[in-house]
Amino acid sequence: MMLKNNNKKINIKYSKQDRIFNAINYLILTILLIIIMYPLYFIVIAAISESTDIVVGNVWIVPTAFNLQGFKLLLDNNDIWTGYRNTVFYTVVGTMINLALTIPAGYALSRRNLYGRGTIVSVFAFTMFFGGGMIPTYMLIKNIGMLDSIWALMIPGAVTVWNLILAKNFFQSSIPEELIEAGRLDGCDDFGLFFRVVVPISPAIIAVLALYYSVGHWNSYFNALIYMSSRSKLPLQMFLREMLVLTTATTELMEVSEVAAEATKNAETMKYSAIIVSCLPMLAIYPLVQKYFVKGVMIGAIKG
Amino acid sequence: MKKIIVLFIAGLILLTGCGKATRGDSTAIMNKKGLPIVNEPIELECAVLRMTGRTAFADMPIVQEMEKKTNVKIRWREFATDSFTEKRQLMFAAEDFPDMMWNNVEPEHVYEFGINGDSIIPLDDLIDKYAPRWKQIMEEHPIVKREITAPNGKIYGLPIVRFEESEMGYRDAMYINKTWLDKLNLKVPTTTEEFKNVLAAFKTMDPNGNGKADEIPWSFRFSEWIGGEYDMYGIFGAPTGDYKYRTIIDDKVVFMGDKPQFKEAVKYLSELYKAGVLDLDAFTQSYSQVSAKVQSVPGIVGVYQRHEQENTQDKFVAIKPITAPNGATPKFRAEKKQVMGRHFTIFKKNAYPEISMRWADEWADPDISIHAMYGPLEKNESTGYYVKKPVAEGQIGIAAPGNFGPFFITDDAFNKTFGPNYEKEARNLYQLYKDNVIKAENIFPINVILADEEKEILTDTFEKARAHTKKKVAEWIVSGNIDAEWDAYINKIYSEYKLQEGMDTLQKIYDNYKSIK
Amino acid sequence: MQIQTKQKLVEQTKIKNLISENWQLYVLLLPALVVILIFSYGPMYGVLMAFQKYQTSKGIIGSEWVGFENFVKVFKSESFFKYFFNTLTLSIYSIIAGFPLPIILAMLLNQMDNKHFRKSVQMFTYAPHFISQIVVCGMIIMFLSPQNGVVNVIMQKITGGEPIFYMSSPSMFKHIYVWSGIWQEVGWSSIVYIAALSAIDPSLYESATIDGANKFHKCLYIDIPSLAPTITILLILRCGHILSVGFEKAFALTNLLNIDSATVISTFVYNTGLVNRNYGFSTAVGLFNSVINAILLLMVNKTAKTLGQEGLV
Repeated sequence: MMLKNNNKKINIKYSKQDRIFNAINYLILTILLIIIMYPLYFIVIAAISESTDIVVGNVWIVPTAFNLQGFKLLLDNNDIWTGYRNTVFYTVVGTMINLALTIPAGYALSRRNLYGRGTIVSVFAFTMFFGGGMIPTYMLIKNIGMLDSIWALMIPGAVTVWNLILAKNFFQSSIPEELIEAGRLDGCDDFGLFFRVVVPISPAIIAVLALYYSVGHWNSYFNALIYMSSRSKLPLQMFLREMLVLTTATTELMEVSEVAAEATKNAETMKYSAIIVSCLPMLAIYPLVQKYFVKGVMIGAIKG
Repeated sequence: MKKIIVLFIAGLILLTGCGKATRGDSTAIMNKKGLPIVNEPIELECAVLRMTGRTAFADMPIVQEMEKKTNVKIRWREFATDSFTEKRQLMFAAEDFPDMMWNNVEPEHVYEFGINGDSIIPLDDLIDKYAPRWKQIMEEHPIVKREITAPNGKIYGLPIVRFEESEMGYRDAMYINKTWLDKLNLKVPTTTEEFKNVLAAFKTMDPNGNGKADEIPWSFRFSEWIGGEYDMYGIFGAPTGDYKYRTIIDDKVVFMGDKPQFKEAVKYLSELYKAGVLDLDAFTQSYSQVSAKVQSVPGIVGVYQRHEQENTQDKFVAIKPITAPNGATPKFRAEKKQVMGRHFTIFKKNAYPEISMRWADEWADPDISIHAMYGPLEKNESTGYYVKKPVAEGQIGIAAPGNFGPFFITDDAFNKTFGPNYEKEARNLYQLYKDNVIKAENIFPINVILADEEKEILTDTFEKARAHTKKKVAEWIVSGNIDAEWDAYINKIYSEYKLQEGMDTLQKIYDNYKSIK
Repeated sequence: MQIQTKQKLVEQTKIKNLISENWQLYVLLLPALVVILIFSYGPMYGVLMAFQKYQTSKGIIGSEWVGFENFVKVFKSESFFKYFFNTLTLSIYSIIAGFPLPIILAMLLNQMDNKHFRKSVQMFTYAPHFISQIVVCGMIIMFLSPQNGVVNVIMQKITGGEPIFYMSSPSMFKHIYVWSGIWQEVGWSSIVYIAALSAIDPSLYESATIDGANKFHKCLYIDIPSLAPTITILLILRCGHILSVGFEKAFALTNLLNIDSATVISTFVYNTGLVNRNYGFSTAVGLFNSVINAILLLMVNKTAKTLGQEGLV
């Protein structure tokens, strides 16, 4: 057996059973990859094909043209860039707020010595089922004065109970008691334990929550729809929806301007271009997050 | 514990505040006639739906001019198209009202907040004293008064009036591919039999000559008012004035969904479906998809009904309504509503209702209305007529209000501004179809305001029945089983859904509407 | 008497001590709690609309109280049970078919030693989650189109038969709905399991290899037990949302031919609430929904606890 440096290939001998397992694994994952990828591939080629070809059914394997009109229409629209800027802001700042509130609370609720823990968890969980509805919530936001404020998109939703429970669960089952003991022996109080011991060994849950929350912010539009009126504060999804509505609504009251006529002609391609425009940044983030899911992060901490 | 809850709730309710101002009276500072309306500028808030494709209202030249002329400055509260329903809902729910609203206050809102509440104020008095133009319009055109008067006899909103000929709703005609007809040496069909044969020929004889059977003889969209099955009902003699299968015949509200002619129409459609000449995407496609198909190269569509100018490769011509074998006079497409109410409402908190009314009246000047609707316009010096100004580079959208606002468009103003050659196609279509179109007086007034009890009855009876009809028609077109299932269907809508009760209620509503002078 | 009060006092002091000892934990907890109290409990009174003939002009205080009348109307309406049944069908089918798959995917990925392949698969499988529902539904309709949809084109090449109109069949609806949902979510849902698997001590795997275990054994005896708490909590949460089938996707896939299977409870709420403005009625439906969800959650929670897992509450 040759154990080389981490950077060089390690020659591992697999047992026969493992080779069969690996082969099946490759097969399953490849088939899965193809099935999932085809529609994604379709989106990409549709985004550069002609609308008419898409609808008629000529676009399946290869794009029928190199038509960038869909992208051009979207990106020429200055609003889209405003939307990008706003959404980046809401996502970054919003997620930071989310994490700052959820992670500590999740940790606190995972400690069995917290008096009233069960009741408090129930108080949180209750809100997953029962809520006042759109109108009372709107009135509350209005009375606090948060209407049309950027904070309306980041504070009311600062804690998602689902994520909080996930965090609590993680801290409950993944932090070994020895670590806590060691920390106390070192003279750490609860704050110290949390910030200096637990957080450094929990990149996985922080990464997962960061991902969940930021995707939530990135794709959100409903709150903006309800609470925002200044166009300069709208997130990306609102503008994308606007463009799509422009091309697909067919009410008799719709006046058809030149912009709209041009857009209608390219309606189908634009639909797909819009997806690419809105998803690409998010897809680019995942590799960054992925490295927190590396094995053995915990072990280093224990040994250290 | 209970006390705490009550206090908590009370506290929250208090937070909602009750800032209802008392009804204003601005006659003191207002000029009763002439411009400006006030000597010192005042500001009012006006809510409006800003459709995608239009600029901000404050940027519109005609709005800016009006402001200068009248000294009434407007703070526009704009709603976007896709969030309009929700936002308007919230506006009413939270009682977060503006001073005025320029469009789309629904009948239910008027009922709850105007007739039964006091947030929307009645305008009768104000129109009488301060809106001379609207007063005259109502005297000259009784239909205007009838459309905007609520069941309690009061007026809660000014309408938009479109009397121009080209707007009569015939622009969405039925078009057939002339290039293909010529290629296959066929005449334009005039009867349903000929139509069926032509469609079959389109399907089997490869008129676009590319060797593939990719032709879609009729690009049909089920349950769409334009491009759907509703035209067929009229052709067979069961004309439906609206998409809920109602027509007014001799002042009686008639349900068309149980007539034998209706059955024949559906049967015909199912035969077409069986022959494979209807677009298989009929039940799922959107208009833009039809539009894309129509514009594809090479052409693949034989017949379609259209919304707007398409760039088609083949030549298409409009066809006169075909006649059915039962000899009925084909009725095709309904006249578009010329008067649409509630395009201008005033809310109670408005401190200057008289000034607001005078301001609304200014928009009803036919010359201003034309520019507001169709603008921005520029004059072509050689012809003396106006044409639409092209949209400037980098500007998104048209800088004029368009189809919203208390406008009064007359045919005269239209001709004067654009000349007799404008919208030629629409006018030609008007001439082509005007004998066959379902007239306005045969259409049930859909904007009439319903009382709560009436609404409940209709929801439980009529609405359920007609939804059932629609579903069954869809099934029958695909299955062809209409003969076998017809009796059971009739039975169901009358005994289970109590359709008669619904129709009686509708009749009462209509009689009430008709009785307004 | 004195002993009892003394006991009470001791208890109270004990509690006070527990709290003061752990005051820092409460501080960590506080911001989240405050946000929830204000923004989730604040508007909670809206639930009362379910018991009223609510009118926006009269508000909560002024609207007429009708007790359970709204609920009676809900159950009496003929469509309700159809919607309820549709919702339940779609949900249960989704859980049975869709819940295990992300777990299996996570384990397979975890055992894939080829880093590049693993990373690529991860990235592509989670991409569909980002595509908005409306577009996904548009694609589904297009792929299944009898005119020239890719599915029919391929099927015809294989079997040579007539094109099948998938979207017109009420019975096909649930399969289309569930499997497209799985396509969209399997990658995304596996992320949390992958994260949990990454927290497993690698020495466990090493000692297992020494003991002669192959990869399949490792999955069974190391991965699954380690994932058990995560699986449990996610299953409980999933069951707690069983009646919350979103309306947007069902609506986008609906047409007049499959409408009988496609209307779900949230369609009902949307139609009566937003469209018909019958807030009392729609709130009652929503409340009924929530109660069933909550009961189910508690049931699954209890079951999990008896099986030795730590439940949600």
